[in-house]
Amino acid sequence: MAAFLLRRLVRGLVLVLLASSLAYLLAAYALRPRAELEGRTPRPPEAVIDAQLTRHNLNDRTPLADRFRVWATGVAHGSFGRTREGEPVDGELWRRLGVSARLLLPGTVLGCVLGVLLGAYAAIRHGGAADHAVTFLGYLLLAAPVFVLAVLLQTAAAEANDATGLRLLTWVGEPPGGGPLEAVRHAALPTATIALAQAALVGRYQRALMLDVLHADYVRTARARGLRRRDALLRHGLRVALVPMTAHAAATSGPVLFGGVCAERVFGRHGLGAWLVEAIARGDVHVAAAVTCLAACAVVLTGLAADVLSGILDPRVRAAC
Amino acid sequence: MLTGRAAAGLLLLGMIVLLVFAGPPASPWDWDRTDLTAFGEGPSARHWLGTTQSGRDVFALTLHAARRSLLIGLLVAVLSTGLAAVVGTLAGFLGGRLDRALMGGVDLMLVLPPFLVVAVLSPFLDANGRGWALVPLLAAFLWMATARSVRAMTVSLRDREFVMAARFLGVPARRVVLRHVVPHLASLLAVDVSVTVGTAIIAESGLSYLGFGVRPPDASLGTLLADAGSGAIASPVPFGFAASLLVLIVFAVSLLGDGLRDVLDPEFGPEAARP
Amino acid sequence: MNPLEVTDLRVALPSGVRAVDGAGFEVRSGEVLGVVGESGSGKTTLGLAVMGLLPAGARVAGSVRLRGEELLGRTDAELSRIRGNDLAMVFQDPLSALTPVHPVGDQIAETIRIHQGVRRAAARARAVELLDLVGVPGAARRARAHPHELSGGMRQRVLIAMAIANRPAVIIADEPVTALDTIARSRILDVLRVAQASTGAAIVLITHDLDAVTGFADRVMVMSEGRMADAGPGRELPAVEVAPVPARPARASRPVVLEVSGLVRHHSLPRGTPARRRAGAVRAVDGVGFDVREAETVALVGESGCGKTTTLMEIMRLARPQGGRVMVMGQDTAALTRARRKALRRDVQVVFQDPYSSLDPRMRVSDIIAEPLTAHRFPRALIGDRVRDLLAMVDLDPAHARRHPHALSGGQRQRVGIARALALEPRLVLLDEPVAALDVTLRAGVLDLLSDLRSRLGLAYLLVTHDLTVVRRIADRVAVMHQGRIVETGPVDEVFHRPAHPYTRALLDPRFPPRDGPSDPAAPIPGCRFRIRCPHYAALGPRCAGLCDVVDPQPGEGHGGRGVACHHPLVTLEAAT
Repeated sequence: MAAFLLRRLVRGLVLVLLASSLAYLLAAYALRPRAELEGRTPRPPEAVIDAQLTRHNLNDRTPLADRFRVWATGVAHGSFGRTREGEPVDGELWRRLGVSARLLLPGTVLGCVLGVLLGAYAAIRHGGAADHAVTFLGYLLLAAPVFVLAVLLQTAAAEANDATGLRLLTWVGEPPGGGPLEAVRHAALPTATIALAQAALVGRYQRALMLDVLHADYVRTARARGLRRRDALLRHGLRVALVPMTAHAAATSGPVLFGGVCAERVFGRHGLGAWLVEAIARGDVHVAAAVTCLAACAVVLTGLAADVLSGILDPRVRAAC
Repeated sequence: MLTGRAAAGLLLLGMIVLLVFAGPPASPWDWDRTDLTAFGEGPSARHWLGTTQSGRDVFALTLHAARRSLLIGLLVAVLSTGLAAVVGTLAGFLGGRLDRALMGGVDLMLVLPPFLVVAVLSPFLDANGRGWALVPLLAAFLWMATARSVRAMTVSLRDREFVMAARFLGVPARRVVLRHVVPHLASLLAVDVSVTVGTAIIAESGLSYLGFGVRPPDASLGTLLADAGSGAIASPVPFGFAASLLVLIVFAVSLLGDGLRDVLDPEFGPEAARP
Repeated sequence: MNPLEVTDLRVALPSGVRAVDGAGFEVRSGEVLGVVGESGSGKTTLGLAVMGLLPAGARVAGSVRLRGEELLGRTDAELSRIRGNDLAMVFQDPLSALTPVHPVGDQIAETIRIHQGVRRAAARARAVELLDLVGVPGAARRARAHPHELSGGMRQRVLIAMAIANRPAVIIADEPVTALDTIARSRILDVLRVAQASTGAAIVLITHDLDAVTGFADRVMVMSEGRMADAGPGRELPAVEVAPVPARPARASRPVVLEVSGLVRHHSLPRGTPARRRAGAVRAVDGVGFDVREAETVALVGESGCGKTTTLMEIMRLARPQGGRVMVMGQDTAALTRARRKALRRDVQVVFQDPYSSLDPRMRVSDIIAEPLTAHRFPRALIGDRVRDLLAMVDLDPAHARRHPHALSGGQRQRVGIARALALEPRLVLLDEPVAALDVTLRAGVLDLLSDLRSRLGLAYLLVTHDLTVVRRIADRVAVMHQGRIVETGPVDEVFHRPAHPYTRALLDPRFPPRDGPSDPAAPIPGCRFRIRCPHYAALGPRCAGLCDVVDPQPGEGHGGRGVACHHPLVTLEAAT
């Protein structure tokens, strides 16, 4: 197992390096930081623009290979370079990583748990009213992008605020401070949005997996031993059905990150996603490359965590490694 | 015969298509005209669902946007599934060096950061912002998973006894693929097209929402939702209409896809598996 | 009061099928009741109905009394106190019946803990005792193993240990030995007998296989179309009839259609470094030689995993083997051109084991049978007639031609498979367990058809099977395989009456079982490979045993076409008569 994880880690590292390099090359090739400087009034002299761009390794008149070499050397020494304005990328990167993580992580974890429970519950009640309700809701949630879901929840929250006359919930921006209560008031809506979207992704698959084990021989054996149906399904059925779920949950990391970018926009958070969107719009090459690198790390780490988890859950996986 | 789900999905989708294509000619106002006498007004005889803050007809504009989203979604799905089918069967049936090369290509595509690539390249390739550049770009990032399952299914079919039997009977390889492999893939591909339509529409609207897909003055559901989202609490009609069209389209398409899976896959369907 | 009394039990499944239609029986303490019926007779549903484990939506009527208490109509919670405690069940497929992610010891311990308020450690200790009781060697270690790490026989023992954990009054065993080969089968029945002796439970043994209950059940009932009838005491069942042997020219004067010598097929293990892969190759076929002559049936028999199917597939590839030589119709397969190979395929055909998976579910029967004809450029205009002839040849109705395989019964499907194999008028047909997937009642019909076709068309068969009754019925010669080698060959009558190799005798007679031993197909031991399992080896003196330790015996052919790979054969092989 350890050797297997090491192999996966090395492979993941290679993938991250490849992805970041490709991201840099693409951004450096296609984005035009020069255009914005030229657009200023009064237009700065050509030499000044060149000098400023060259200082930050952004000059498109330098060969791409040379720029890449400078950037890669920087990354190897732990620095993602400077923004177009000359600020170091790194400090802002970690600060914004915190903002994004606070927005995304609680909802994602909550959504996974909720999805597993609802999916398993619907499968156990296969064909019943509860199953139909959960399945229908799942379809609707899957069809609603994060930015639609968020607005719907905001509208509902505004109604609730009006009805009670209190400011129960608020959602724009990070909490300005003011204790845990304020933090909860700010976090409730985004967390609920992300959790619902994630629960729909996870729940639908968990239901299908659980349906497969509903009639499994070993569940019947467990009942023949004297376990009640519900206990047999949870202790033996769900336990087996969770194994393939780990890989599936990890595979949702792409949609989750994309949803996160949209969520930051709706909820007015200045996280990594918003930064990436700005960077692409303004031609900020180093910011775009750095954020993409972090995203690739997140995807690889999630995959690794899923491998470990399925190894813990299933001895057959351990044996196969 | 269609199952309840597939039939419901098809019916809903048919109604939406009818509305989207028959609605704009019936409307008294065109989607691309601005009414300089009406900014952010409510529903009226002239503007059935009112106007936006910039004076455009909500009804006509939203239907135009839905049509654009639908079309992009459909094209992406057909393109990506077709690519997946070709790559998957070639890799699965022929195996060997070609298989390794193609699957290496899949791995490489999975490494590319999709958001960055599409967001950077889409404005680059698509100067007027009508969104057609999104079709190849999105398709390029949606085919890999399907190609893998097509390949896996081809490999498992290749080892099934009836395919082995055909080879032992002396049936040529090309004929084995056409007679025994492709018909079994048809259902997988049909389901995949409808599932990918939903995914592609959501991805397209998300990118347009963030400003990287379809761009004003043209419109897709994503751009409309971006415009109307912030004012949704004050004036719910523009947001509500666009949002419900988007949700209903994706809802109908995924119902259709899942229903099709039940109908077309007697071997893997819920009824067939149990004695 | 009898531990279990079932009267007028009726079950309607959710699909509307009346699977059980007025079944009734009772068992006394310590009695074994055999319930025999073909698949679809409702016998499995009967077992599940007694346990209260029918799928949701099934309707049950009648009465099931355990020690006089009615079980029908109880809630899941009430029944769960009885199940596994007073009433236990042993299921058919021991791999899927055990939860793959929990150690087997824990699953037995769970059975104990549900019903007895004991601590985890005590339950685990008891689980190890139980595993020991049912004959699992190294019980303490095996208790920590997961199901996939155990062999089929061991898993079946785990299920039995689980069933007797709480000393139930009644054990229902649903096909407990069906998935096992002959040797493991008689062992498991022994274990059941031991388990019964230690608990005094009544056993209801459900099976489709009369052989499995003969000599084990005290009483047998036959189940058919949901009803039951007495068949009398289990020890007095009629013996299986033996088919008459048709007259043919002497063996030596018939041409050889298939000659295999020194055939080798090693599978490399899928994981590890290339060097380790080479060293750790599984020696599926490791030097096999035999020949098949025109108009005869040669059977390859052995336990599962002995390499018999691999041998067949190697022949069927018609390509250069990893080692050794395959001659088909006098042509060396290593030297075939592409065109010659395709032409040769007309002469060699195969009938697969599973008629469900060997026919393309999307094609009609007529297209399936016509496929080889089309592939070999048979005149298009004549194909329709040829298909009709073939259908008639395998006793199928012409109307079947328009159906899809799923609309046919198992026996009919296998007949389609045979018709397809015969379409090109081959001279040699390889039969891979041709009736193993069929019900017992259908087997005789298909075997008779195969015998009949052989004598009518002058075919040669190479038959691969683990079922000795099939061999008795249609084979002329038999080759017994063990760990990738042939250990004994000869005419069926002689080999079966006077087996010369201890392994052959073990297959034929459960009174002489081979010993358990580590048999790693990746690393065969020097000398005789069978000696670890050989019941004689231990009894041999050091001088005789020394020969077994060092020299790998070869099955020399000679006396009357018989050969045996043993230094100390059980009978002396005499000269040909």
